[in-house]
Amino acid sequence: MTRPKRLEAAAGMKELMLRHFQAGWLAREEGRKVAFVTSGAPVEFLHAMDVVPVYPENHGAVCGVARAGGRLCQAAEERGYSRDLCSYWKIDWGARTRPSESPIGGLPNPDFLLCANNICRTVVKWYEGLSRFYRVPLLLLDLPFRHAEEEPAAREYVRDQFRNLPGELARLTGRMWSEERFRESVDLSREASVLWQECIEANSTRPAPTTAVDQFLLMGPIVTMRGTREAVEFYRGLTHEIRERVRRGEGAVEGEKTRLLWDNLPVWHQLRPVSDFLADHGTALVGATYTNAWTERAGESPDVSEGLADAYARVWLNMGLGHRCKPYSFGQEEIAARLKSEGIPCILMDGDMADERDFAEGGWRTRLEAFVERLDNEHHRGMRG
Amino acid sequence: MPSGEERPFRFALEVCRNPAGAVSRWKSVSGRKAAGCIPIYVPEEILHAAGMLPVTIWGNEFSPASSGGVPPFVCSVAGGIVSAIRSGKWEEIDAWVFPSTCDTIQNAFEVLFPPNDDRPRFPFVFPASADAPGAPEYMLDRVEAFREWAGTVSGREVSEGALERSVRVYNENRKVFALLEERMAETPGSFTGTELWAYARAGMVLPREGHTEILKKALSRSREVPGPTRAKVFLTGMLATGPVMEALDAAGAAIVGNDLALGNRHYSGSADESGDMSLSLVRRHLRRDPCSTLHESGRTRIERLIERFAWSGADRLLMLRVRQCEPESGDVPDMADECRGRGIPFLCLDIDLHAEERASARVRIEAFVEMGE
Ligand code: SF4
Ligand code: SF4
Repeated sequence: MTRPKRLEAAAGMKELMLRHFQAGWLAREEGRKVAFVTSGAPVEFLHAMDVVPVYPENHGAVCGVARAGGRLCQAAEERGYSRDLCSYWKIDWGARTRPSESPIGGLPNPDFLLCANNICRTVVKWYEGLSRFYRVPLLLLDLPFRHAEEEPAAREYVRDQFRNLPGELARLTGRMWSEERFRESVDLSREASVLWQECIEANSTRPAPTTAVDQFLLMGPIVTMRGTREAVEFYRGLTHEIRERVRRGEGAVEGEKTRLLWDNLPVWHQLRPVSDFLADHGTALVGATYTNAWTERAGESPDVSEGLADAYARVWLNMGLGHRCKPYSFGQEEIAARLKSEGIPCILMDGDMADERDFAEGGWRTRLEAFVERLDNEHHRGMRG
Repeated sequence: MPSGEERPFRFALEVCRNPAGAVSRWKSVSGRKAAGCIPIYVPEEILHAAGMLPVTIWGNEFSPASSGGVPPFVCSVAGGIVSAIRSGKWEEIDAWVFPSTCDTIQNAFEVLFPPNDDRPRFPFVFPASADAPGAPEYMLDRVEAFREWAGTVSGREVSEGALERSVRVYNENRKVFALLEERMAETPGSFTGTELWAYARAGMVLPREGHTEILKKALSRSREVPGPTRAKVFLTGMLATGPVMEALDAAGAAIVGNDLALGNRHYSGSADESGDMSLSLVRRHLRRDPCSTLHESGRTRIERLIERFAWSGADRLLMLRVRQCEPESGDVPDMADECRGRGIPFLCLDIDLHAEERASARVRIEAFVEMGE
């Protein structure tokens, strides 16, 4: 079987992430506070106050990769959480009561919580429950849903809340607000995002130097360590490695024939089998719509989707349905219909991002096989034509 | 022929069974427009002041012919609303208002609304947290924008005077609905579950003035005080379905309190009748009790629920959870714990507006009513 070429940076990332998880456990000894934080929250405020951010969503993904999600979700369901809830949420609950089932032994207790509802409103209910469970304060950033043009009042509302955060954090940590550290953290975030964007965009070259599965697995630091020097250093190394591959014309997939884009959340528990299966068929997953969420930068906010659309304008599309994540799963069928009408092949696969119980492995393989064969035939026809 | 006492109930029930028919009749008599309000918390006074009929759509007014392109992870409330719109039902509605209730509603509005439907739409994004800094100012901006939109759609500007009159009409209606709830708490069994459901639902379709009259008539009746009931139930959740209420009635349970969205959450809280009217609507919203779709500020939803439970004199708590509803699901385990700790019998019953669940609901409700008898 041909497998995608591994990136050397991957080994470094494991080390880095381990240190990140440890930081949460060691925080108290070092006199630092721990905050649980949602993946879209402005973590730079926490860095300014030397607070250690811990990401339950990221922990959900880690459990998904280790195929521990099903057991942890089961624990939450036994407690009364319904099966149709977001599996990251349920995993978080499960790991609180059965930490030994988590590959990293669960998460340390938080001193307070910072929840931003820009990713979804599910997190508000999740964090309210956390606040009751740990009996710790919850800071909610209510970031209004944007339907069309941005309303100036919405921007002002967000600003008001951001202006209020330093005071709240000073109260919760007993420290003085450090504007200097805040600015430094924002700069580091920006730097890491620029590097991360370069890593993603490098895949517009042929053959693609990395796969989207690499991106999924290497996005840990940009999600959880944004605003730190470590994240910048890590992505600097990764960019360097990718640049080298591009220079040498080296693709992640041997004999790349077909290029696919992944839409929706990663189905964490199937990443390796999917990626290996595709590589074996000369097919590269070259991009994902999910990973570019962390290329957004303060002060610039480039229209990343536009940029990506240009970069990937002629790739094949592949989609996953993360059924327990409603916000991300809306519109999948509409996108598929639109793509089909434009002659772009796509396949919709059904599966939960972190709960391996909701994934029919056999059915997945057969369907993907048929899809890839079809793409293969079209590729050969194209070569002859 | 129904007696005078039963007439208000029969009328309300008729409206519930065919809300589109009631809207259509109102339109042909008034010659004015109707606005479809997606649950929950649309400041309807503004639509009323613009001369429109606010109609809350719950998604079970029509039985969905098919899934109508609605993904399976969508709850039956949003699914029912969207599939009705996509299949060309609700043609009586001239404009739509979608509040930012939950992820499902927000995204369904963006993604599933048929692109060829050119009826005006207003996404009413309100603050999820009453005590967030800037929440009143932000909401005031949204209320003003909504006011302008309603004026444009109806062709009748929403003047301060008109809005003040509408606020009074709504306050009066809420006051009378509160009397109905009080009566149910004071005299368990004085109104059945089905009556509560019908009166609550009818008020979301009829003009409020007419609904107030119906409620007053219903309250003025001198029915015999019923004998002791088997159970005094407090209901929580988004809504109760007709079959659930019928099952509660059949089991001999009296509803003595509720915080249903299709119930108390819709009707509770009055707006100030003097001063700036837009601000008054903002204050009313921000003073709401914490609920599953609004972030709890200070007091949690569960604490507030238990307070209201105690006030009602209920002896058990029934949670009606719409399947796939994340906001409502999140509190269930802690709510169950709280009840267990206080010795309150608790049941969480999953409901689906479009599934035939009559028999299973009946069995579970019967068993629930028997608990602790
Ligand atoms: S519902 Fe989706 S966006 Fe929200 S926490 Fe779960 S996976 Fe993330
Ligand atoms: S029932 Fe729940 S998920 Fe469905 S529309 Fe209402 S709040 Fe949203």
